[in-house]
Amino acid sequence: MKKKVFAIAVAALLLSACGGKAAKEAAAKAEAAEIEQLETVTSQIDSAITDIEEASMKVDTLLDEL
Amino acid sequence: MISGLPLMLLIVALLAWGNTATGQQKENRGKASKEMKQEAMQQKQKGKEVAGEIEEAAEAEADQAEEVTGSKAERAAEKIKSEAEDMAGDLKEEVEKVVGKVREKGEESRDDFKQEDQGKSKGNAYGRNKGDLQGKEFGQARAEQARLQQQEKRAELDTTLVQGENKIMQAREKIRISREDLDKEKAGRRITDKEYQLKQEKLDNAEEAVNQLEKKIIEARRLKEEKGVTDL
Repeated sequence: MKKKVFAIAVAALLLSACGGKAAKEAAAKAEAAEIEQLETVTSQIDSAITDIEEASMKVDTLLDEL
Repeated sequence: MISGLPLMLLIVALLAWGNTATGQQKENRGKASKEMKQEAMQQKQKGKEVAGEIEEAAEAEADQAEEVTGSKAERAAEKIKSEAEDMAGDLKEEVEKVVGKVREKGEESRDDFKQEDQGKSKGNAYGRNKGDLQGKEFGQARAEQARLQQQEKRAELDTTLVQGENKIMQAREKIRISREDLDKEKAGRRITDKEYQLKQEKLDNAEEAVNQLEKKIIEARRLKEEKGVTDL
């Protein structure tokens, strides 16, 4: 009887420990994905700004030549 | 010896106590994180408002600039440019301040948790899990920083778009006037055919560059609309 109860308790403890760890890992993964997505969009915006600035500089140069 | 049922009850009570203690710790950390998040949200809101104001001001100025031509348009565009640059500078400073603050808070809370762990976890294995909690707090601060950086870039993009649109307007006007002058010069036989061809080519190149700039602006506006709905 004692052994049975002890085994159940150990199993419950392991289960709760593993469950918590898995949840933490899932949350960390979701957060990492969110950061990655934010950084991707930021990089796209940055690239768009650079493109516009370059195109704008080219317009300036060609207008000066007129 | 303890018989089966009391032993089971004892184990259940111990598990429940353990969960409550963990919950309390989580709650405390959650509170700190919540406060930090709240402050960052407030700053984010402020940043959004400032960006909105910049856009509105720049658009109003752009409307005004459309109404005038020649040197007036150039002066207005210069004014817009300098105002937009000032506003962008202010916003950049503000965002840098917020990013610094969030980073500091993240580091502070990381240190706090480190001290807490050192104080409590001597002699047991639970301290190992606290490394993850530190990482969680750090991750939240990093996510907030990434959001602020994106917001800063969005404001910068708004300014660039307005400046680019003004440039297109001015450039088209300049090209139109130059074409008219060139035609007059040709009609008055003040330039040779070769010179005329050369100048036409230059005007075509300038027009092509303006079209390219317009294309980039349209693409950027599309990007802003697509990402603006889903991300912020």
